[in-house]
Amino acid sequence: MPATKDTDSPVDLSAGPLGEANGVAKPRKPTFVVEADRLLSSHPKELWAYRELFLLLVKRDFVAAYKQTVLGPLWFFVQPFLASLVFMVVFGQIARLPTTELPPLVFYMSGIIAWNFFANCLTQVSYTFLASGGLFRKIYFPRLIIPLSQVSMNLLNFIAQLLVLVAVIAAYELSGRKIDIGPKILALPGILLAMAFLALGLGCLIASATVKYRDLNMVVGYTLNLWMFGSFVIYPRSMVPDSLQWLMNLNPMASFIECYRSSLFGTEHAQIQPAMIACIMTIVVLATGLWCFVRAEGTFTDTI
Amino acid sequence: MPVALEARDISKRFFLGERNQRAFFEDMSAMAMSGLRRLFQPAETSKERASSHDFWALKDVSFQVSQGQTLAIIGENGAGKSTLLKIVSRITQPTTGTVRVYGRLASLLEVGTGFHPEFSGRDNIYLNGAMLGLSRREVRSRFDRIVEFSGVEQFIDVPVKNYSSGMYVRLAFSVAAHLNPEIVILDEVLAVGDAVFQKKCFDRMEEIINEGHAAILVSHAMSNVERLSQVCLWLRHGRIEMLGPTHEVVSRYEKETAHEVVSHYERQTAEQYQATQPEPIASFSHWSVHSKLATGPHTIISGQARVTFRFEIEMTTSVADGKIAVSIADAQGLTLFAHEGELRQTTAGKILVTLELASLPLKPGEYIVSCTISHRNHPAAFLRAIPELTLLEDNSVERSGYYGLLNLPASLSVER
Repeated sequence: MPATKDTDSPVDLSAGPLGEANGVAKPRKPTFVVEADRLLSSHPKELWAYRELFLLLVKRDFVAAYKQTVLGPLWFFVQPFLASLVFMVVFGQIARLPTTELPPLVFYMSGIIAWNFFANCLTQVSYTFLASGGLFRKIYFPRLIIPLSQVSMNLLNFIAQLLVLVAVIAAYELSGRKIDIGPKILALPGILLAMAFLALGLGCLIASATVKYRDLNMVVGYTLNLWMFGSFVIYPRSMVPDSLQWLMNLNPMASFIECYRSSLFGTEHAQIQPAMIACIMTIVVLATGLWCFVRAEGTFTDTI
Repeated sequence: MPVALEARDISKRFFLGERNQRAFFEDMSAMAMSGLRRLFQPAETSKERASSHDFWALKDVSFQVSQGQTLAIIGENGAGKSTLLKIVSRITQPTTGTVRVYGRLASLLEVGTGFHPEFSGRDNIYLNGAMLGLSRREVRSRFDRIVEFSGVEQFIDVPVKNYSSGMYVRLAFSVAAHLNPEIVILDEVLAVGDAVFQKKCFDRMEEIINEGHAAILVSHAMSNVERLSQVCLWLRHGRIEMLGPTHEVVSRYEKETAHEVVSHYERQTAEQYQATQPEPIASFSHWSVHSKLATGPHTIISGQARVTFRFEIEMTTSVADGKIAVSIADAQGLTLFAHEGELRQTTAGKILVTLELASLPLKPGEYIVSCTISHRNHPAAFLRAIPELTLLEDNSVERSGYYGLLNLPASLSVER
């Protein structure tokens, strides 16, 4: 049956004499425009408008993480502690790797909590589209809110774990061992932020790729395990032979963890050159990651 | 009235086909090949690559909604309604085209997404409100109304994982129903819960539509479409089939879908009939409808005149003590009316059945008329047939403001 197509002129029933009078008014600015290849969200202004959602999500994830575990908040403190003990036995006693002037427990624990912070951020961010896909399909809000809230939640966890480390240090102090915490600690927030940005950028990059290739997340967990061994978590830079130093310089996390311990204890001397390389890599990765992410969020519902 | 939402030439293409290992290598090699090709054949267009994997869910859809107006989107499943809503509510991007939205838009495509089971109803109200774009202050000012509407006051501080599913959806709908946006996008499937709460949902939706400045509604119930919207957009296979005043679009939509439903219904009853009744006791030879409003053998103008149905039926067996019924059903198969009579001592051969109606006050549309014969030996004997009684709109009188199933003679006056 032939249909009367009416596509060329959208009907505006209200365009009566009154409507015309109003229609002359100067063109208004749309609240938002949806268009091909225009970023749907994650515009800085949009992100700011949804800051309350961001705070609620951080709170939600933080509280939920503590509510679901048997040990409750204790788990967050026990886990790095136990891992440090295992490292002490395996790498300290069996492999006999040196730990600078720091007591092994402090050395491993500081490394583990920083690495966990990075690894958890990266893993969670890379799962953004897979984990929140159902939500994204139904409600509009700037998608970047999710990775940002996850990184922030991990930052809170990290701070909580840092308190445990402080307690361990205090115990050592009481037993008479001197651990210097100097003014360099002021650089700590900057170093943490750099790690967070690296994880965010890399995570966003992987998240965008998972839109097309789901199994990429498998690679993430595997790679992170291997990556840790090249990141000064279990040994200091001084252990690395000169012929391999260049390789370490290409690993931004190695530099960041070195800087982080250096700012905490002053036992390792962070070098400018690797730190600069790490910062530049972080900026490039972050920019690429965010770019890919905002490109992916517009079309991901079509493929996943 | 100023425009609240304007969509221009919206098209959306989907790629069909799985993403798998092969797809990955194909992507990679395609990237490499296109790079090589560009070196040697710079003139090649990307159109050639638009393969059979492409599927246009929407094609060149344009419409606008003015402030104070409600637009209804209708169409069969898979016509592109959801895709259109998703584009308008910024969940996915169009392949081409532009949507301009003037004012705060809230789209309620589903309720309860983003609820966290571990959190109390109270926390979830704030969380869900924030997701839907409300500030904490706005949620606080609506909090009491939301809770009251949902009827879960007692359990507001209990984690929602302990809620019954009914309480859960009621709370979810309540949050969504109190956003007070300038432009609202509603999907009818939102009406949730038991019958009482569903009624409440519908009422609230109507309120939202009435108090909001503009609305887009997706619905399969034409009575709701007619009641709530002024403009209607009919999508078919991703294209605009018709766009215009609601009653015009709906009446044509109903007429056309009725054909499909009727033929489906006919097939179904024929199958049923054959299953239960291998040897038919009767068959139709002819039927007609007589009225001064009749415009054809099976077509009359909807109105108040006397209507007579005449059925000529060929009986294949004799019936000692049977019943005969004539019923009228709407295009959805809902029986609107049935009248039953006795069928005594009939021998094989032709019989004439006549049904007189003082009037047939149904709204214009397609109807199914059936005649059923049953008797003691064949309790399930059906003689179901003759679909398609068409009632036409009475153009001689001005269309009075009615909707619903019946076109009863009525007048409305207001006094003070």
